[in-house]
Amino acid sequence: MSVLASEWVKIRSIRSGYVSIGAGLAALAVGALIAWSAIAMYDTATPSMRRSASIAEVEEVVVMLPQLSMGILGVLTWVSDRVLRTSLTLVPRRLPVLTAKAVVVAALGLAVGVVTVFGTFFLVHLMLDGRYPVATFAERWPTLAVTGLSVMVYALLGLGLGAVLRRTGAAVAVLAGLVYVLPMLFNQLPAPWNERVNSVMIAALPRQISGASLENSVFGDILPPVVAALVLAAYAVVPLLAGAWLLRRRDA
Amino acid sequence: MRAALSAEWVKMRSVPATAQAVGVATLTIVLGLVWTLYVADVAEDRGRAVSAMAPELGFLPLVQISMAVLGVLAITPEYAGGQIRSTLAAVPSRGRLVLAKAVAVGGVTLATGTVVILATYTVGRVLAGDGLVDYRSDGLHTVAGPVLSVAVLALAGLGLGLATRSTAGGIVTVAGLLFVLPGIAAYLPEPWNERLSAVLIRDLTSAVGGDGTLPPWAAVLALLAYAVIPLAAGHHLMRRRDV
Repeated sequence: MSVLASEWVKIRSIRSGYVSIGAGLAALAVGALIAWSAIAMYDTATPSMRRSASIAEVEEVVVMLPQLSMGILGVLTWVSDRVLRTSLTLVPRRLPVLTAKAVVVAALGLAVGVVTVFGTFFLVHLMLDGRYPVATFAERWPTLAVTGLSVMVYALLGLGLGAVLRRTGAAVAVLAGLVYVLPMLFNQLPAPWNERVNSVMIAALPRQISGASLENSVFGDILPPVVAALVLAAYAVVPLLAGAWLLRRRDA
Repeated sequence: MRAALSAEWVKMRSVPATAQAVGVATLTIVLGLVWTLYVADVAEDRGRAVSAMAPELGFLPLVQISMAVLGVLAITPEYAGGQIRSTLAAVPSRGRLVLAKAVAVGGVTLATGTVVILATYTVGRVLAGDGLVDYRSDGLHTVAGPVLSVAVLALAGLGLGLATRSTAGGIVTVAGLLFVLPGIAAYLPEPWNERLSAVLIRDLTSAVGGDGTLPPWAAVLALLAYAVIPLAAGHHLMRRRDV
């Protein structure tokens, strides 16, 4: 318990923690901006254009911001810990330190994810005020919940990468590579491999878990919900386990 | 200036991150080779022409992000480790330091980008043979934009590293420019989606070769602005702030 408390104090005392959380919450502002420009367009459109008007799920677009920023927060929780050696001296069994960090970043990731995803959904709904045909909360809540939860997975993935690679540049580059570069590269694979491989990319998983469609994206949707959920969990767990193993074997 | 430049060159040469980033960029040639062999094989099987993504364009993000990371890492570890104080004691003029770093980063990444992209282009065209593979992107003017974009991203990374003084902050901002903004821009309502996309790095890269909304000369200027504005901002902040 005291390890958890000390990790909480550490994360509260680094500036980059607040920057990451702020950047994540900025998703609400970006969502409002998209909705506002959509409204401006709708209000100047002709009736026939209005009938065919449609709008994308804004909260699933802007969630990229908290996903990335909380992933970075996960990395920094490990690599920017200037008193890591002291902590490991106090807790010679080592693993409680990693576990405590995981609990803290998971809680923050979940909180920021849920607030931004649900917040953006309701904000955009209120702003649009019936202008565009949008799905109701009852239809959308499974996808919203899993998307919010996915921010927690990004945070844990970041922490795991930080613990394995132990250098900010390497961990952030691998995180960005995993999230952005790989789907772009795999999308160029010949069919059906592009769809198969891009079904297990992290951004493709929330919608496969909730059973929503992934048409018109570079991502595939061939996994059943249970498998997709296991893959999403693996993104959080596998790097953390590798980090835990290396933590026990390596010198700090 | 010569001393500052040679100091920056020694730093770049001696840190493992430079070789690692160049190594990752060079992977593109291997990926392009495998891709070309595969596409040529498919074309032969079908016995007719196949159109496919050109390897030097499809794998470009790998070169772009690795060189952008190299640009960020040319400055931020000095802040993290405290060597920036020795650096500024040796080169007190902030302008000269930024210029020396920009020349070193720009030179290394422009050379890497040129070699990697031209090699991938050549491997893709030579091995495809027989005229059965159509990459829909031929002629050297199509690689000018990609090569320029690589050096521009590296310099943008350097500028953002100077401005944020943080490895994570610098890399994430440059990754945001390259990958997140196009995603968000695509979801803006018309005509703003096209207007914003036209000035983002991805579209400018192809516009340099004549395949974009902006004319080539405007695309080159806009790309250069992506390098100059962060560098100017980084220089300005460096002058105003204490070390």
